[in-house]
Amino acid sequence: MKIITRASNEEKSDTERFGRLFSSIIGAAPRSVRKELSGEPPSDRVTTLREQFRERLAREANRRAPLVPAFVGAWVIGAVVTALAIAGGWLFRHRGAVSNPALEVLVSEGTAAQVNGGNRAEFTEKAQARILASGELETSPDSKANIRAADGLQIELEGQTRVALDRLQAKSRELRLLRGAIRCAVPHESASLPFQVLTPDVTIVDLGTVFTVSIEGPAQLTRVTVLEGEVMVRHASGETPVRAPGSWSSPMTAFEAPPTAASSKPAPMVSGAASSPGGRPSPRPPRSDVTLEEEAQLLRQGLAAERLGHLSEASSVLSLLLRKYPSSALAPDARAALQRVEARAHP
Amino acid sequence: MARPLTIRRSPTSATAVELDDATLAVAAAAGDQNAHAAIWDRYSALVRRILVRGVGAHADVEDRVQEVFIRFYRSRRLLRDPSALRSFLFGITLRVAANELRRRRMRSWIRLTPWGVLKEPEVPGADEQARQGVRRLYQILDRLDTTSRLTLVLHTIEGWDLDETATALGISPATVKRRLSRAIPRVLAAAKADSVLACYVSNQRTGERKSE
Repeated sequence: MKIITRASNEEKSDTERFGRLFSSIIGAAPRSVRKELSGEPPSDRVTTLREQFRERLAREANRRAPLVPAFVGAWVIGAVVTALAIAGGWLFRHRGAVSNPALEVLVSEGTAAQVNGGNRAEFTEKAQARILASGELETSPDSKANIRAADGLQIELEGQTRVALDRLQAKSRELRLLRGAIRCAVPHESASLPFQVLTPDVTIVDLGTVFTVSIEGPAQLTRVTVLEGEVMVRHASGETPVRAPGSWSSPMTAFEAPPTAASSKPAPMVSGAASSPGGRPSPRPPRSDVTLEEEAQLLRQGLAAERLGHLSEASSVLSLLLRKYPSSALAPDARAALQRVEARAHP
Repeated sequence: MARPLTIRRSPTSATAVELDDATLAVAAAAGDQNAHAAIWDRYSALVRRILVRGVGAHADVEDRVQEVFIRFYRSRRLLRDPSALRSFLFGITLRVAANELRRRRMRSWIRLTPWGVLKEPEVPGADEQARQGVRRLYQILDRLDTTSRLTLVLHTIEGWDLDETATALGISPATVKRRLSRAIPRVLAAAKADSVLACYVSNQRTGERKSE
């Protein structure tokens, strides 16, 4: 208690000491300084200062109120700065895609077109153009087009072929084959990410090679033929490496028979001439988490085609999903989407 | 809704001067310029004194005084309790003073002048040492942070009590006490070390001993 009292007294004496010091300094100062510090203006300036204030007040009163209040201006500036920061962040994140998004397209025969949202850019025969890796590229019947990426990747599109380019970027080197057939030539170690071709039912992972992929028939079966090197085909029943010269096809029976027990064991490797169409891996796709990814992919693909108005494509992809995985958790969504698509196709 | 009072006579007339703060504030809120002029007449000296003691006597003090009253004019509708006119004005004054101190500190950072103020012309003759004393004292106060300095000025020099000072600065009375307990010893120590102010400190001590 004593300590607190002493501290409080010390504070009080310090305050008083400072007050006295201030008074003694001010007290010793000339009268003009003392008067200045007292806040009283020189008597000859009182009227002038008052008039100055009245004039300024009148100016202030006549001033038009700003159209935009100051706080709104501050909000606008804040919003612009935030937008710039977000745009900067986006550009930084996508700098690879922005710096190298271009693909070179050469139409060797017939015509081709890039469809991007509602826009359609046509390329005539022998046309050579640089396009952004977005939207879809399609060839007309009896046409051929080549896509060349900056990293040396070359994709040749046969007639009546349609590919989605939007994932063919530095961050994800994926090409979706929606229809027709393509031939890919991928240089060895051309990029840190492997090149992949996605079809409705399989994913072909390139390991540095030349291969062709085609979607055949109304069942949309995928056929992969390896001309050089090796690819890995990921399908419903696991993974199958295919070496050149060799090929692999989607199992036809898998679409007819409902899937049964899961089998995590990879399918046997298929290679050489003996493995051509007849050398099919496991005839029945398993019900496992592996298939769920594919089911979701098929549904996404079907919905995307529906959104783009490609009704026949949407119908076939969704039908494929329902045929292949009738008891899928996604089947109700697929059925609903299919009904919508059919209603649009046959109004 | 009460009809705003309008002062039609000169602000220096007895009518305006005798009106209470609340009436003046209501008229001022309605945009009556005579009311604003009357508020100027009533409070400009007080505002000027706080500014001079808070930031020092400089050539632009009149600009700062006008800034206080123009800011009051712009924000007159924010005064909800007309009887609180005085403390509302003091609040604006302290914000202007704080801004001025910050501006000065910024100027000193970019080394316009050591203390951020333009050098005042030396006045030859009459009691130059006393003038020097005032100048040195304000130079020491310039070294304090803005809140500590204004706390010191309001409580120790202006004689406001702790609660009043705390309310005006928007801090708690305990913070006021803490700021004072840190700032005053610093100022006293700096004054003792200063060649001009040392004699004031020693005179004060002699006086204290004699009184004991």
